[in-house]
Amino acid sequence: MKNLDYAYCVARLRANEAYMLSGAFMMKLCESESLDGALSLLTEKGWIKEKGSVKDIISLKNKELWTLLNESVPDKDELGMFCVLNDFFNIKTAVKCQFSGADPFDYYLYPSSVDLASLTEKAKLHEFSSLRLRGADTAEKAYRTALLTENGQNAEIIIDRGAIDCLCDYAEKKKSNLGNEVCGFLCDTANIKIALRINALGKGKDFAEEAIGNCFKLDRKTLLELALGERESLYAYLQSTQYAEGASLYAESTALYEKWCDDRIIELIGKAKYTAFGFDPVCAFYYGKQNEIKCVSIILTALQSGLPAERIKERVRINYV
Amino acid sequence: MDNLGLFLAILGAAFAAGFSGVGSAKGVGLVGEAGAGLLSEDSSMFTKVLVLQILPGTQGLYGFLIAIIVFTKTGLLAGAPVAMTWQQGVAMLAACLPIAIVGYFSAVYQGRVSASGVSLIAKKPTELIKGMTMAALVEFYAVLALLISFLAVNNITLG
Repeated sequence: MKNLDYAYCVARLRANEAYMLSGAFMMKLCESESLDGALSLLTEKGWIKEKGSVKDIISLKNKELWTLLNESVPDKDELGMFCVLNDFFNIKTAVKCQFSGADPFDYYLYPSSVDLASLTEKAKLHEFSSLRLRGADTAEKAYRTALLTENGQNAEIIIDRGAIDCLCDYAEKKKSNLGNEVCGFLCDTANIKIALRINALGKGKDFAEEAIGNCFKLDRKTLLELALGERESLYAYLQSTQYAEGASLYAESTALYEKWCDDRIIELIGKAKYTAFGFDPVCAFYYGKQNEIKCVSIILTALQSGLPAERIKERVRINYV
Repeated sequence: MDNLGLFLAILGAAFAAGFSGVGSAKGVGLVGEAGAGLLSEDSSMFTKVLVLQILPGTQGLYGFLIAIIVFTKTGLLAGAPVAMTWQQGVAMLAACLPIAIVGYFSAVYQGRVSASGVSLIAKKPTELIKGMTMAALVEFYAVLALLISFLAVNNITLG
């Protein structure tokens, strides 16, 4: 696809950007006295049509976002990169639910590039390989591992590794500059988190080899070696990379690290505000909107739990608009 | 070979109308696509989109104008073509090239600027004038090319 083929799509998304929630509105939302008050604010703003449960609202907003992208983007294959994490999460859910007996539809995430009914069906028959989806091999391997070792954690590691490798593939192959950067960033930050966890839990080499995936800007071999060694050495290495700030925040709390990752993605996609055509504005819109939905979800859930406004504000991500 | 001069003059007119027309069609088409994207979200923006969509259409008109002048000058419009040497034909062809070349490229680029203007008004509806001004600046070079072609065609002596 040529960049100019995105003229319709970009104009449509820009029109939608005009209705995205600002940072000031998010702060106002945090200061709501109750969940009901926050929902009233969102209704007045036109962000939601009617009040409902937080889960339903967030699910509806995600579906709306996906519908808009599907209607606008000229090449639907390009949207695949947005589903990587959800697809692998759904595979994990399908595998785990085979052992727990739970209904996977209570846990599946949207959007998904695979038909979730087929995924559930194939999971029941243990025939992941017949599914035409990326990660089918990973699912098969994870299922067999879980069956053999009777250890769900091993299956999770295999699936998470599959997601990281898939993101890394996208980062290397993607034609869009922003797509490259975002996929690479997601891939590296996931690897950092895994390496730091391995280090904290004192896991062995085999586990680390299986868990740490391909890296984009990091050196996988170094990360792997240091994850098995002294914590200080691992931090020292991370301090020498572009992820230094994130690593420092991880030392304080994982929530701060997660917030840093989200904020950094918003900074990355900010460049696309000045791009007139092509996939970059689509990529920026998707992550910007996802961030907005996530922020609203955090605020509403926190208000539901009765957290004070100041505590909620600490968790709110920076906004794309 | 008797009509080579006339053939070259007609070729020039065809280039002027053809290339600038294709450029305009591309430009207007691109703005139309962007405009449809905006209108699918906010149909009240139709007038603003239309203004931006019209802008890259002018180059086609300029090319058409030069072609008509060539036809008039060579007597084709009246059905009585004048006798022309091949040198006069080449001169006529060369005179048509500025609007053919500049018309094509300026229309395409003006289309891109106007389509970006659609994205601009999508986010900030009050900024139409800025979008129009930026697109109009591209037009300036098409106007210069039109002037050059017009003066050159008019000053070629036939007969």
